[in-house]
Amino acid sequence: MLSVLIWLPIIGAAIISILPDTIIPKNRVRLVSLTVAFLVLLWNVFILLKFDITNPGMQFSEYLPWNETLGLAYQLGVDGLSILMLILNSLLTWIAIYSSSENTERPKLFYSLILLVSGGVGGAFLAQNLLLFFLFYELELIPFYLLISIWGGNKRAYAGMKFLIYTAVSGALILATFLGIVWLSGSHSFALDAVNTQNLSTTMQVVLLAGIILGFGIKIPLIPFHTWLPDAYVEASAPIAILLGGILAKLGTYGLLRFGFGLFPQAWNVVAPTLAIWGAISAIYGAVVAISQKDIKRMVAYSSIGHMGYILLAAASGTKLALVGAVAQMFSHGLILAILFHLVGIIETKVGTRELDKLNGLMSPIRGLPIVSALLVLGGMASAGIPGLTGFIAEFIVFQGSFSSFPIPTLLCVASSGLTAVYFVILLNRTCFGKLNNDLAYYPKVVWAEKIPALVLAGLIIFLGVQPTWLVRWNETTTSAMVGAIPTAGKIIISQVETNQHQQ
Amino acid sequence: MSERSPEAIWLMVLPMMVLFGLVLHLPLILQSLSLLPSWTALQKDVALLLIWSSIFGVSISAVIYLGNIPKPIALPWKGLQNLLAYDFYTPKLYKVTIIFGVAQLSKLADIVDRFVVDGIVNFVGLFSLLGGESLKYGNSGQTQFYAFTVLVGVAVLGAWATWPFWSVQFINLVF
Amino acid sequence: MVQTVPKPTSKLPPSTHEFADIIHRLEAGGSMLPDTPENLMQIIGIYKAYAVPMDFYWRDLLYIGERVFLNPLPAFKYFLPQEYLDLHNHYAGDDADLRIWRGEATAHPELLAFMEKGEIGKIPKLFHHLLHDRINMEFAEACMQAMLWHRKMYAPVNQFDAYLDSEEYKANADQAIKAYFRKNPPMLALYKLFPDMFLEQCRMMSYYANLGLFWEVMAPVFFEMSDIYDEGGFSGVPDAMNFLINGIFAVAGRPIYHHVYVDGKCYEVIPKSKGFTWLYEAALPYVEAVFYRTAPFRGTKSYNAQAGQVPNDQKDFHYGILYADVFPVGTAGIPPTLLMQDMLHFLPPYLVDYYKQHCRGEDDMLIQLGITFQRSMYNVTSAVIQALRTALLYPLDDTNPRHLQANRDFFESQLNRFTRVDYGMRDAAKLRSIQSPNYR
Repeated sequence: MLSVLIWLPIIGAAIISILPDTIIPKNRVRLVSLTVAFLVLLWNVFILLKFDITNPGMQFSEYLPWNETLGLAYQLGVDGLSILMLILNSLLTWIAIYSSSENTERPKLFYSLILLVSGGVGGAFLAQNLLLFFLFYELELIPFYLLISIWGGNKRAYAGMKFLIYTAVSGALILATFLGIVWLSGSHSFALDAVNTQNLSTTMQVVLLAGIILGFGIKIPLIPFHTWLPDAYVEASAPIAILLGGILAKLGTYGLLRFGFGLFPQAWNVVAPTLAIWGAISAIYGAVVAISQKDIKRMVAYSSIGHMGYILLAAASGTKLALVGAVAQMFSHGLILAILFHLVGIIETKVGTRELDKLNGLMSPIRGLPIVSALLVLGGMASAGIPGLTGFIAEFIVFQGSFSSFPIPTLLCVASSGLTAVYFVILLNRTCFGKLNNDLAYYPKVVWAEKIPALVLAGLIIFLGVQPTWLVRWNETTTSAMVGAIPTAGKIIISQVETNQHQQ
Repeated sequence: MSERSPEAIWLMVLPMMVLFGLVLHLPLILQSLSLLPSWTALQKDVALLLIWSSIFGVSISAVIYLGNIPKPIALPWKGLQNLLAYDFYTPKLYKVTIIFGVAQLSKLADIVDRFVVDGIVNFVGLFSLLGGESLKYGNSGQTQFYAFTVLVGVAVLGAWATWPFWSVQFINLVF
Repeated sequence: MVQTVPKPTSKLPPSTHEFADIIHRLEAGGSMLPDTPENLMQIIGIYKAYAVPMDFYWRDLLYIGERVFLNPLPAFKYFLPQEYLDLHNHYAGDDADLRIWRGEATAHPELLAFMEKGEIGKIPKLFHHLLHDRINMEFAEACMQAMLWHRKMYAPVNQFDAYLDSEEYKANADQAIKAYFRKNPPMLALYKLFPDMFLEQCRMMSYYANLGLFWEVMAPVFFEMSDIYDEGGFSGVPDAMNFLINGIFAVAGRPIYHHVYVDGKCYEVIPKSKGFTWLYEAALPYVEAVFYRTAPFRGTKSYNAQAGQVPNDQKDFHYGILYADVFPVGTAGIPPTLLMQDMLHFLPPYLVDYYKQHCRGEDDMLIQLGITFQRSMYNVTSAVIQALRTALLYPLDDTNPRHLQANRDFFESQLNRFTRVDYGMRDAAKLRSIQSPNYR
């Protein structure tokens, strides 16, 4: 069942790259990859519908022994934490392929790399074996490096190389930590459910947890390991930026929750205050730096850094509600980032520039880009946390869940949410409103095929904002079980605001 | 200045006239709906104050608009006139205080991000590259040099590996 | 395509004005609009598209000025009766005073077809009106209000404005008003209370008649220009401009009057014997008020009058079509967009094909034709400038350099209206933009 999610995209990638031009002509490659991605999405929705939300454990498990001596086994499973991430992965792959231009150069390589990445990320979300996870985690490295370096902007070589080095270091740290965990705790396999860190000393646990945090922290990214992100997101083309921000960053937070929170329940309490403050600093930093950006894509990139800070805060808090909020924020941020990058990509293609000083008046009905601007307003509102859209739901749950454990960082994050509104209003005010420049405003028309991904995402954002049950019901049982494993002795609780999860 | 006032469009005038009529008839409407309190509840002082303030307002406007003060009205102090004309300089005030503050903070953060944080990373990368470049000039190309390096390396490695066996005598020898 | 800048043909040294090449072109008998076949095609096409609604405008303006007169609730003033649709244009048809257009004197067939069907189809006339699927008469009324509001235009020569304040006019108007409200005692009582209000309304009606009579001439002129172009009779933009100049001089003496018809009797509020002429009392004020001045349009931009963002003097107003920004909001109902919507219905096929090949094709035809309209109005303004020069100054081929210098000074003073720095006029004026064919 679950293997389909990994192997169908990879087989699709193989088909696209290997079959000769006579069978798949160059102008049909996009269509073929779109079909493959759509099939994967349908299968994923099917799995979602068959998912049992009352079961906190792993579902649809698959097990194949691979290499016993290494301890590597092909073990897959999905639970509340990962099911939404899988949907996000398939959805954003489909959106990214749809968002890509029809005349991309070297289409076969491009689309096969995207599908490869999609399969790899799916595998990482599904893996129940530490080494298998690491395998899939490293699988993205080279495809993404190629995707950024070949189809990117002006500084793509620099951005790609920076991304590669950072992510490779992250992978090395994670591998070292995994090996350390298994070796030191005396487990005989790398399987996730077999690893038990309870018998390690607290210091050792904290050291290993620090390794996990640093490794995944580069991926999320956390300040000060974030510098690869602005360059990578800005230089990548729109579909790649969607994948980078929507899926790859989520790999970092997923890893933090699964392997940090899940494997080190005792040590988590020790590092939680640091993590909470770190998350708040990250959120404020991302928002403040975004205000002064003059390139709209860079602004959205820094906004991404800010929003990931909320996830860290929620993970640090460790309450049931906060963890539900963390997963909700992961999904919602993926959607919002996807729509923002897609629209910014359209603006860049049509207008020819990304600079805030040169863009103006795009909401003009006949000569401008009215629908794109309207959806950009929607995306900006969603990112800033306006009620009625999914961003508000996720942020609200995060704040409410974390306030009882860490009030000051939560307040800082709320302030950062306000600052998000500042730079989005700057963005919308300069690009959408105002007067079109008569001498330059001869932009080509926006066709329906370019609007559809944005409309699909906007529909989802509004729907989840109005019916948040559909966002949170999947992960409640799993996250409650995860929180339940934490010993409550070391937690500072001011007043536990009991969950609203049953009050939708 | 114009001698004819421009006519407002009917979309503005019609609702205004309707509401004008409604407001003027409001006491009668309230009376017919029995919503007015009884006359005994009237507070003479407040009523007098209200009437007096209305008369005061009407007379001031009459003096200004029906009298022969030249229009547009020019206040005696240009500064005061400018203050009112430019909305108490509120947008400028905001621009200079809050917006300036946030923008400067943001620019500072951006500079720190670009040059300090990114700078460290780029410096490390530059340093590695330069180190590699300068290391390559250390090669002499002579085989005996490499053989000597190998010998020294093996010797050091062997000494370190067998340290527990000859450490005691070595220290006794030296000290 | 490359245009050679016309060399100064006169004996004068080259002009040092900012728009020197345009000055030289004007001195050579040309227009402010460059002389290219593309420009010619555009302006003739848009003249034809402008003339069809203009046919409706002048008839309805006369209907309102003469029949509807002081009706306090004129809900049906845009429902033109058959009598006015059949009213013979004095400059077309067989019984014309001066036959400018070879076609018929009654309403143009395309206009009648549009009034029948509109955009939606054949539905009762009331629904066409309520759904706004009609000719936008509000544009004509806005032009009239501009002329009414801007006073003392061309003051000593234009006596129409001054006459409206005179005792004679008041007496005439008084007669007409009393006759109109003969069977209406409340209104007569109101008239006794507020005579000035009714007088002002009557003045507005006089301007309705003024504008209607003005456009009665312009419509056949534009129709004829379109017909001549279809036959290939124009060799360039200066040719078209010269046709306009000849038309202006031919009709210059046409009397401007205001006759009110109450119960079949005609009350001459402004009799023909006053001798108001078409050129001085209608055409020049119209060009001044509608092309140059008008007024800022409500709802598109907010101005701080206290801070001097709106000119204090009416003559500094710069919101006319020559200064207009034609990338409009589109649905705000501002007058130029109303006219553009009207013209969209009557574009000749060659112009529709032309627009389909540029910019966004059919999607932004409104803006494309708006810019074409702006070019054509610059051409009309050039015709007026050349006509004024012919009337007041010296011929272009005069040999006396002092005369030529006087001509040049006149042209420069006219172009200086587009180069003034205050209120951002020089940025708003589109004279520079229309020189390039890429401004669409």
